[in-house]
Parts: sequence; C-alpha cells; structure tokens
Amino acid sequence: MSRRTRNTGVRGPNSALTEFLRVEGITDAFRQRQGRQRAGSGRGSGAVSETPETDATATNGTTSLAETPGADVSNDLSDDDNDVEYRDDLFNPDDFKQLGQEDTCVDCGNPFTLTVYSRFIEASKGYICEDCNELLRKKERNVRKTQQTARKRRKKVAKALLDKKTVRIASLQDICIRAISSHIEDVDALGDIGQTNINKILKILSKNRSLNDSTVTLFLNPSIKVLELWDCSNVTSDSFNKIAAYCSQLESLTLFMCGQLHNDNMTYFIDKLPNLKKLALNGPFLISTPQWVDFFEKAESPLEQFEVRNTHRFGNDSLISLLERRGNQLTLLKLSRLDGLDSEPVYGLIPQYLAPSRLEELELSHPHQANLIDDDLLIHILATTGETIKYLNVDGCTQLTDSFLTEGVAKFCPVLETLSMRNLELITNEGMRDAFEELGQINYGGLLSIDLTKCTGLGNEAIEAIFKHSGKTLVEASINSVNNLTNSFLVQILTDDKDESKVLIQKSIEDGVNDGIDEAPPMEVDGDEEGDDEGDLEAYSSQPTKSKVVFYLQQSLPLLTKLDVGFVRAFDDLVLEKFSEECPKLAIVEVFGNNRCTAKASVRDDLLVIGVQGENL
Amino acid sequence: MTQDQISNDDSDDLGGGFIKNDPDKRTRRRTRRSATPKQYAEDSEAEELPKTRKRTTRVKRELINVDSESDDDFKPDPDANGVEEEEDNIKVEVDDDDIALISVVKPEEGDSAARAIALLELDDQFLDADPPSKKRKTTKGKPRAKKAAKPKVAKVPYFTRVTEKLYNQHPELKDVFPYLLRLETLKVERATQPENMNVKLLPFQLEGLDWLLKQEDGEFGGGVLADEMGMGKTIQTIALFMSDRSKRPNLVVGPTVALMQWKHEIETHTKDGMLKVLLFHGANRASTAKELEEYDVILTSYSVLESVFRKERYGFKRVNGLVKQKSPLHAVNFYRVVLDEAHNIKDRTSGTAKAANELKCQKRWCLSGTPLQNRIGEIYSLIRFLKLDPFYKYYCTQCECSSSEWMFSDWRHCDQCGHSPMMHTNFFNHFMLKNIQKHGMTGDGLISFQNLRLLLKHVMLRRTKIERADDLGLPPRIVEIRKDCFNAEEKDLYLSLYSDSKRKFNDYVAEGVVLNNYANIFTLITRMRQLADHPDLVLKRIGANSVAQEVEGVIMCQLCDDEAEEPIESKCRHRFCRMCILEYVESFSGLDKNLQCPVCHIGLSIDLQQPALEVDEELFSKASIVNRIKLGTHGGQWRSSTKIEALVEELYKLRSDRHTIKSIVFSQFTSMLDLIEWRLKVAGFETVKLQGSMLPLQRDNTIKHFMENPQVEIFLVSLKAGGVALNLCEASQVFLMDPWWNPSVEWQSMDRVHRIGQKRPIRITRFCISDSIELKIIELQEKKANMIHATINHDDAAVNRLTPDDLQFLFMN
Repeated sequence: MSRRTRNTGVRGPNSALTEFLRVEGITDAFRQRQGRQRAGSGRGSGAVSETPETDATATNGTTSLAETPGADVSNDLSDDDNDVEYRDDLFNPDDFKQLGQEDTCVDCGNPFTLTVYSRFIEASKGYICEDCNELLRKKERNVRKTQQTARKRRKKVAKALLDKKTVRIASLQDICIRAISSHIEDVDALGDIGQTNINKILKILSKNRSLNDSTVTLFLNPSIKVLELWDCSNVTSDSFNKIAAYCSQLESLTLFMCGQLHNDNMTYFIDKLPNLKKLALNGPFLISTPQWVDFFEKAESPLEQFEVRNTHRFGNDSLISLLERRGNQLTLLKLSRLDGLDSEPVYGLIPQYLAPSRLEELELSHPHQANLIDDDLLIHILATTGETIKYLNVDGCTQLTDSFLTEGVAKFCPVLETLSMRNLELITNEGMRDAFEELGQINYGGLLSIDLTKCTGLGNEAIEAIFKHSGKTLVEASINSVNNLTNSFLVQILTDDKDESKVLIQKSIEDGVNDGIDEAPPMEVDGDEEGDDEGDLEAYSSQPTKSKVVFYLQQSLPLLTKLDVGFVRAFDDLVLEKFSEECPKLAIVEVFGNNRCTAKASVRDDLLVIGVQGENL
Repeated sequence: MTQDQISNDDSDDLGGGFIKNDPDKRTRRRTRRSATPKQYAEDSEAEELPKTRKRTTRVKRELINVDSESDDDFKPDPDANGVEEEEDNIKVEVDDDDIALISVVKPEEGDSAARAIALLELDDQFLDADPPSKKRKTTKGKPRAKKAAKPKVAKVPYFTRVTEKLYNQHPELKDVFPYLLRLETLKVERATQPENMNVKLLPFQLEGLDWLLKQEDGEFGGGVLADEMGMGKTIQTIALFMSDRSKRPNLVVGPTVALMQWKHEIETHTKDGMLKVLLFHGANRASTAKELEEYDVILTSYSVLESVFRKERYGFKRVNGLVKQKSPLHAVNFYRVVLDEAHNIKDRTSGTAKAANELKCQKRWCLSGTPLQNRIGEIYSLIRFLKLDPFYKYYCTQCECSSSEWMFSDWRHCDQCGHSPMMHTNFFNHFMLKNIQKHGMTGDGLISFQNLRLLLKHVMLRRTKIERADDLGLPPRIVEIRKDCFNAEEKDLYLSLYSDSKRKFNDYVAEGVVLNNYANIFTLITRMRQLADHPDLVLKRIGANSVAQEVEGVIMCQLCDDEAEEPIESKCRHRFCRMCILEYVESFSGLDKNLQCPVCHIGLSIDLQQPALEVDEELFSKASIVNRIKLGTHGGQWRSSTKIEALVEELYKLRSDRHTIKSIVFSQFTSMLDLIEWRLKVAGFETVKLQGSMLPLQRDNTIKHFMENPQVEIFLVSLKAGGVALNLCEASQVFLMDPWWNPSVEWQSMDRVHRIGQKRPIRITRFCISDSIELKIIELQEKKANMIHATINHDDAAVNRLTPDDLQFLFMN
C-alpha cells in the first residue's frame, strides 16, 4: 500500500527524524540488500543486481511474496525467480508508462503500442513488442521442453541407479529374455531353453510377481538339478508337489517367500527327492515343528546344506532333530529370524553335533532374543569347525562382544572369506583392531567381504586394521553408520605417504601438536591441511578440547568393487573423489545420509554413486 | 443417557446420607444435578463421600445446597465437594478417610478397558466357578432383613436398595441373569460353505458363519462379531449374506475408507450377479426407498447415515427456511443391518449412534476388531444398537414404567410416569457398569463384571490371531527399531530447539505449573518430534519459507502446524487434525476439566467423532510443502534429513533383481509424507499416496494401482487417514516414521499387512533418531508397558497418559 502512496506523490505526516534522513539521503538500502542476498542467495544470480537507483523503491519495497498475485499473471511465462526484481522496476516512476501509450521495443527498436500483455524484459529494462515476444516465447517453450526431457531422463537414470545399473543398451540376450517372460504363457512353443537362461527368466518372473501355478510348471522337467524360485507367494501347495513329482533329480532347491508351502508338501518331499543336497527356504511359516522333525528323520535325501529363514514354527525340536540326523554332514547351515527357537541350551547343541572341520558356511542371525547367542557359543562352534569356515554371518546377535572376535574368529578361522556382523554394537574399536592384528597371523588370504553395518563402536583404528589385513583382497565392504570415522582418516588412508599434506601431518606430530592432549577423546578431529575442510572443522570442533592429530598409513584397496558408507558423516565429496581415484575396480558406492556428499563431486564415469541427496529434478 | 444417569445416582447417594426416602425434599436439587454431564472420574470420588457426611445436621445440609446449586450449572463439582468437605472438617473430624478413599479409588477409574478386554478373551472357568446370580440373591436377602429391622442403624448400600426397588417394580428383571446362565451357549460347529462363493472359507470362518446363522435364529437376533483385525470379518459377513439370499435387503454401514473394500470383496468373493450391491454414498445417490429395496446389499458410511438422519429429524437451512428431507435409509425395512467398525458409535449420544439406532431392521450385527477402546461404557452403545432387552432399557424404581429412551422432555419428569429422573435407572448401568467402576474387580464389581461377561458370552464371538494362528497361516511379525543419529547441522538445530524447550519446561517445573501449561509443553514436544523428522516441518513458518499463510482456505492444524488432515473444530473454533487432538486429549493426565485448548487455553470442548470439515483438494496441494520446494524457497538447494535418507536406504536395500518387495510408509505428519514422496520420486521409486481427503473411488483406485502394478513399490499413508480398514497384503514391509504415544495405533497400522492373504514374511521397522526426543518417547513407552504388565489391573489408557513425571523424563538428558 505504501508504495502506491509514494507514486501518487501524497505523503502522510513524518517524524522529524524521518524527514532528516530523507533529506540527507540516508536509507536502509544496505540492510535491505543484505536481507535480500540472504533470502535470495540460491535464486539465480540475476536477483541480486542491486543498483543505487532502485534504492528509493527498495526502502519500502517489502520483498515478501505476499504481493505476487497481480504480477503473477503477466509473469507466468518467465521463471518465478525474478519476481522481486521485476516488481521493483515496474514501479520505478521513471520507467512507468501508461497502457495504450507508444513505446519502442527494447529488442528490435520498432515502435509499438503498450498493452497489458506487453512483456517487460528485466535485462534491458524495457518492454518488447508483440513479435519479439512471440519469438521469445517460442524460445522459452523449447527450453522447457528440453528441461522436461532432461527430467524424464534423470528419472530414468535414478531408476536405473536403484537397480545398480547404468542406462545402457540392453544385450540381445536380455531383450529376448524379457520378450519371453512377457509372453510366458506360450513358452512351450520355443522348445528347450538352457539352464542359465531359465534361471534368468525365473528371476524376472519373480520380480514381476507373475510366478504362479501356470508359469511354474513350464520350468519343471526331469533333467534339471537346480531350481530357484525367488517369489513363490502365488504358487500354491499343489504346484510344490509337482516340483517333487517332475524333477526327481533335483540336487538343489531354493524356495523363497514360500508362504504356501504346506505340511503335506514336506511329507511328499520325504521320499520323492532322493538326491536333494541343498534345501533353502525363506518364509515357510506353515510348516510346523513336528513336521520338520518328521522330515529330518525320514527324508531320504543326503541333505548337506540347509537354510531356513523367517518362520516362527521352526522350533527347538526341529533344530535338535536336524542336528541329530544331519548335523555331522552339514556343510552349510543358515538359520535366520526363527522366533520359534527360544532356548539357549538348544543353540548350545550346535557345536556338539557338527562334524569337526566340515561346515563351510554358517549363519546364525537375528535370533528371537539377543541373549540366545553369546560369545561362548560361537567360540565353541568355531573351535570345532572354524578351520573350514569360509562364510560367517552373525547379524543382529547384539549380545556378542569383543571376545567373540579375539577368542573366536581371530584364533580359529584361517580360511574365512566373508564376515558379516551387522548391529553388533558392543564390539569396540580396540577389540576389532586387536582381533584383526591377530587374525593376520593365521589367515593369510584376507577377507573378500566384510559387513560392519551399524557396528557403532568401531572407529578409525579398527577399520585401518581391517584394511591392513585384507585390503588387498577386499571386494565388498560395508561400514554403514560407523559414524566415528573421521574425515582425516578417510583421506589419509587413500593418500600417498609421500604426499605433502601427510608429510606435514607427520611433522606436526613430531613437533608435538599432541602434547598435553589426553588419549581419551574417541573422535579425533583432523588437523590436516587438505583445504576444503574448514567447514568440517567448524562443525566438528563443537567440542571445546582440541583433539589429537593422528597419522595413518596409506592402504591400497585394489579389488574393492562395492562400498557402502551410508551415514558416515565424515564421508564427503573429497573422500569420494579419492576413492574414485585410488580404487580402480570400485563400481558402486552407497552414500545414503552423507549430506556432505553431493552431486558436485567428480568421479569416474563407471562409478555409480547411489544415494546422493539434494539432486533435483 | 449413561452419564446423566450416573450423576443422578451420585447425588442420590450424596443425599442418602442425610435422610432416606424423602424424595420431595431432594427433587429440586437433583434435577439440577442431572443436567450437568459428569465424568466418571469425579463420580467415583463423589460416591465415596457420603459416609463421612452422615453425621452432619440439617442446618448443614441447607448450607451445602446453596453451595452446590450455585456451582452445579457449571461443571462436575469436585470443587463443591471440596467445600462441603471442608465444612465437614470443621464440624466432624472424620475427614482422613476421605483422602484415603479417593486415592484408593482413583487409579481404578480407567481400568475398565483392560478388564473388558480380559473379559473378551472369555475365560469361562471363572464364570462357571462362581455363578453370579446366586451371589446376588444372598446380597439381596440381607438388606431386606436389615431394613425391616432398623433402617437407621445399618446403612444399606445404594446398589442393593435400587436393585430391591427395581425388582419390586419390575419382577421380570429378577430372572434376567439366572436365565442367561441357564441359556446354553451355542456349540462350535462348522457351517457348510455357502454356494456361489469364490473363496474357500477357513475352518474358523466356517465356525464363525455357523455362529452367525444360529445367533440370528436365536433370541438375540444378532450380536457382535469381534474377531481380531485381519481375520476376515467381512468374508464371514458376506458368507452370511450368501447363505440365504432370500433374506434381504442388507445394509452395511462402515467408515468411508472401508466401503470400496466391501464392494470389492463382495465382487471378488461371490459369483457375478449373485448379490446386487449399491454404494449409497456421494452426491448422486439414490433418493427413494424403493430404489434401495432393489438391491441385496447397500453400503453406506457413518457420515452419510448421520447426515440423512439429521436432515430428516432436524432439517437443514435453505433460503425458504428449515427443510426436512425424508431419509431413504430410515424408510426401508432392512432384514439385516451390519455396522462395520462398530466402535464408531461408541459415543451413544452422537448423531451417528442415534441414526443407527433408528434404522428399521430385524437382525442387527456389529463388527469390530476393538469393541472396547477405552471404557466399558462403550459397549453399552453397541448393546443399545443391538436392542438387547432389557439391557438397554431405562427403568423407573417407583413404578412399572420402562422405556428405551431417556425421555424427559422438561428435564424433570418422565414423559411416561411423571417421576423424576432420579427415580430412573438404566439396566446396563445399574447391573454392570456402575459397580465395576466403583469397586473394580472386588465385591459387587466382580459380580457386575461376571454379569457383563455372561451377557457377552451369548452375544459376542471373538477369536484372536494367536488362538487361530494355525488356521490363519500368518507369517511371523517382526518389529525392529532402526536408530540413527542426526548429522552435525541437524544436531545443531535440534539442540537449539531442545535447550529452548527445556528451559521453558524447567521454568514450569520451578513454578509448579506443569499441568497447567500442559498445552504449551505438548506443543513443544510436537515441535521436537517434527524436527526429528525434517527441519522443514518446523521451519516452514519462518523466513523465506513462509508460503502457507498466503494460501487461503487451507485449514491448518493448530497442533502440528501443518495442513490439517480430517480437520475437526473445537467449541472455541480452533481446528486440529482429528489424530492430533485425539493424541493430545489421550495423553493428558490431569482431571478432564483442567484440559485446555492448546491455542486459547480455555477449557477444551470438542466432539472427537464429529464429521471432518470440508477441504478443497486443490488448495490443499497448493499449500503442500513440496510446492514450497518447487517455488525455490529453499534456494534450489533442498536438503533431505537423516530420517528420510534412512528410509530411502532401507527401501533401496530391499530392491533386488529377483523379487519385488512392497512397502507401506506411515507418518503422522502430512508434510513429512509430502517430503518423502518427493524424495522417493527423485530417487526413482514409484509411489502412491493415500490422503484423508480422498473420495472413496479415488482411494479405491489408488489402492488398486498399488496392488496390481509390481513396479509401484511404496504406499505412503498418513496415520491419520489410513490406519483402519485397509487391506494391503501385497506389501510385506511397514515403515513407521515417527513414534506414537498410543501403541495401539501402531499395532493397527501393522495389521494392514499382517492379515489373511499375506504369504510373504513381514517386517515392521520403526525409525528413531537416537539423539532426539524420539528415543525418550520409545523408552517411555517401553517403561510404561513393563510397568503396566507388572500390575494386575492393566489399563491401556494409562499408556497414553503423560504424567508430570513422564514429561520430566522426556526433558531429562
């Protein structure tokens, strides 16, 4: 409202001070500008081009968006960004022209009549004629179109990212398989399909949720030895019987999400699958404890590998029966999320029945209660069969402590390749470091894969020890939510020891920067001179005490392919770039929740960075 | 009118101490009292008072009368009682008992819920071991003898006196409970599967069908099917429709959300054309009874039922004055009326309940997974709807008058017999409710409790999932809490809000006014919870972000400062999301009369069941937080939050090339869902969202879209909108974004996937930022749950209530 009054030249009474200030030409333009800059810092550069002549209007030009309605109509086509500037100029008395007046086009210089539809160009501070406007509009339309296509493409890329793929041309094989799976009903006409391709088709069908009674029978023939159905939720109990009836040669059977697998099916399987060596079931929650017992006692199959997940009806008796009957021949045992197993002594039986040095893969994850699986149990198991263990998974056994690592893994696992220990919050930094230093004495090969998701007790030293031991062989690593890692550590392990920055750190340590600092603080704040870290320093040094400067040797990670560093806040653009440079095989990095990791980081083209936030469509 | 009734009884009791059988002297005062609605809480206190006042003199009584008369018109009057007590104190020194008594009684007041639930689990041995009727007979005999001897010396309990009078005037009532006891319970048998149904009923569903059929033929003509959620109450009802199709028409009343689900299930589970279904909802619904009668099943919502009834009864305003419109629903003679989610009529004074009671039909059914949410009184509403004689009726203690309505048009005299309201009592209240409230599980309370259980045994069928786990074939339910930490920036922001809030809270503590400032504290906590979700939820009002104010017509919830979902209005004209204000009310631990409006701090008065205010969908989306992102109010650099990123990561990790796992994401805050939707879209996920303001058809299509397309992986639901009656068993993962005071709301949302038809293993993940108030909330929940399970009297409502100590705990470091 006040702006209107100014334009008509009518003013209300003023205080003496206001009058004085006005006469002296003192305005609050400075403060205004500052406010504007703060508000519009991200709004494109044009918004802040403040010139002295606009001060007069700016003094009372409240820049709130509240006054947009009028301006919006004519401004629809241009970007919203310029609202503020636009209005300020429009009402500048010098430029203010009445409608219907003659004006010269600022673009082509031709005279034209000003109408309500005439467009104001901020850049040249004037109106343009109808023709020029038309041209401009066309240009804008094109821009918008490309923006749209870009957006679509971005969406496609984002989607592909989720599937851990880059957008590329599909192989002929893939196209064919996709075509087949969409016309699966007629697949009989095609004749024989090779086993690997059958598996591929089965995966696609499972993913499309189109695996059902009619499609599943297409893949059953007497010759197949391996069958993997990943989503059987639409396969009924009759079809499960057909599997055993048609494919009596089966050696390996994998049924996931088999919510309809019934007691009767298991009874049927008892004598129909004489060669079955591997049985993996996920979610067979209709099969009761006595039925499991029955199956283990009577089944003719030479079961060596057994995996069961997600059922509350695999009870204590089932496990006892499994161990008694099959325990000494098992090479693979995976038990996960079995709420029916609720007795610690029953778990305690596992090491007693296993044959010494036979088991290769062991998973005891997510027990019903954390106290069911403790250090002693695992040490006991590893002491028996650790010599052959290649795969060990103890996800979610939150009761495990350092002694599981130092007394168990570090002592008995010479050939361990994969270690997964999510959510083990009790493991400490020192325990892990000591364990891996000790493991190095017996396990010369090194780990291929390690999963430390949510082992929140770990810190720099532990990870350093791990990389020292198995950095050369590590293919997959997850340090998700290991939030004690510092930026300096991540940078240093990837920087050449001769690098100037590291030399400086070493020197500063020798000079005694750490003097008088306690050993205690768990989070070392970096004092490195990599530049770029000023922000970090500020943020982290909210602790008043100055922290210790530590020097880390470079570690090489030549084979690292997949790295999950989600919720490690110290992981920023710089570290990402380092990883991209130093790990030649690195293909996937997951950086969820790392808000300092942005799309601006320049990484290798073949490196997928998943979970960068702030990417806008 | 249960409440009035109770207060009547109280005052009767109060007076009873001074003089007995002196009706004319008391009438005036009592009628006054009867007009004031009372809360149970105060009742129980008041009831204990008379003993002490027995010895006061006449003069005293007049004094009190003056007091109470002046106060009565206001509100329940513990204050007045207080005054009286003080005077007692001066005259007679017996007041110590009072305090003791109150403190004994108080903790029991809310117990009803848990007890009733225990009661639902129908533990028959208890009942058989201790036949209630006999006990009563003994109690009945005693007072009579005493009364004859010397009424002045031995005080006959009020209950016994009224029972006596009732039996004298209405001899037929004597036999009610003995008869119920004699009545044989229905044998559990399996009915045969009705023809023309596409689905094979599970064994326990056939048992249910058998019970439904027999119950209809039996003397109650209906009942309550209270199977736990997700056990197929709908299917059993459809089977009932199908078992004899000549019995028609049927009316199904349900929440709006559930209607399409009903239609859908009828269509999929019955052969085509077997049942003609009409959806009586929306603007162009049929208007005549004749049209309705052509259909076998008519589906309608509670709000429509209420509105047609209101238009018929009270009329509505048009240009030419008040217009009354005939209600087609109330004109049809239905064979059956089924109330789905029947706890919608738990407030029996609400228009909806009245509208339901007025329906004309032969058989009445209630379906409800949670027939009792808070109080035993709630079941009365169902009994009233079922017209269970004589349980729902009002009886006069002075004459033979009995009525189904509380008919006191002049507030003083019964329309039938002319006696005062004080002389009337409700059968259910008298024999079941009151004593349980008064005595808990002892003495008369236990008898009443067994009476109630006896009745429910005959009219209610409840099976739980655990009982029938093998029949159901449900997957195990795994609940996990995912804990994350703030990043440095969020932590900074949070700490500034936290220290601010904490300072304020400590001020209140220092001044000793915590409960008086409950509204402020609740708001503080809400802000902190929102900040843990995403800073934008709190900051959007500030600085360059403030767009919301400019969009006119959008209703903002005054509690969560967000676009209100299902907005309802208080007496003082402030608007809130239904869920927000419900949560607010439930968590208040002080006396009800001290509950303030969070905005204007006068006493809060709000009908929680009222129909939601209308919202314009378009304006709604304009105010959406995402719109603000698009408008560039974040300077083009929108930042996600830890929690959202945690969700994205979880969802990302669920993906695989070999199977599709679908998820449901719940949040309490609408803007949070908007942000999540936006972030997930950017990340390349396909999502659908269910909002409270959607029409049934839109909802249905949204749900269908999700169920049928494998590439649509995520279903976003506002806890406020989609908690109930959604069947989403294609999904097998549930994510709860924010912790909720009331654990039952969380259970309900989990039940969306944990139900019949679920063949995949399921997992429920609750997100929690461990360096925020959320961790405290979860700890508090666990602490309370443990505490409550440890005591014998479980009380579900107590879990929701926040005592000053709890608040202190939340603000502790």
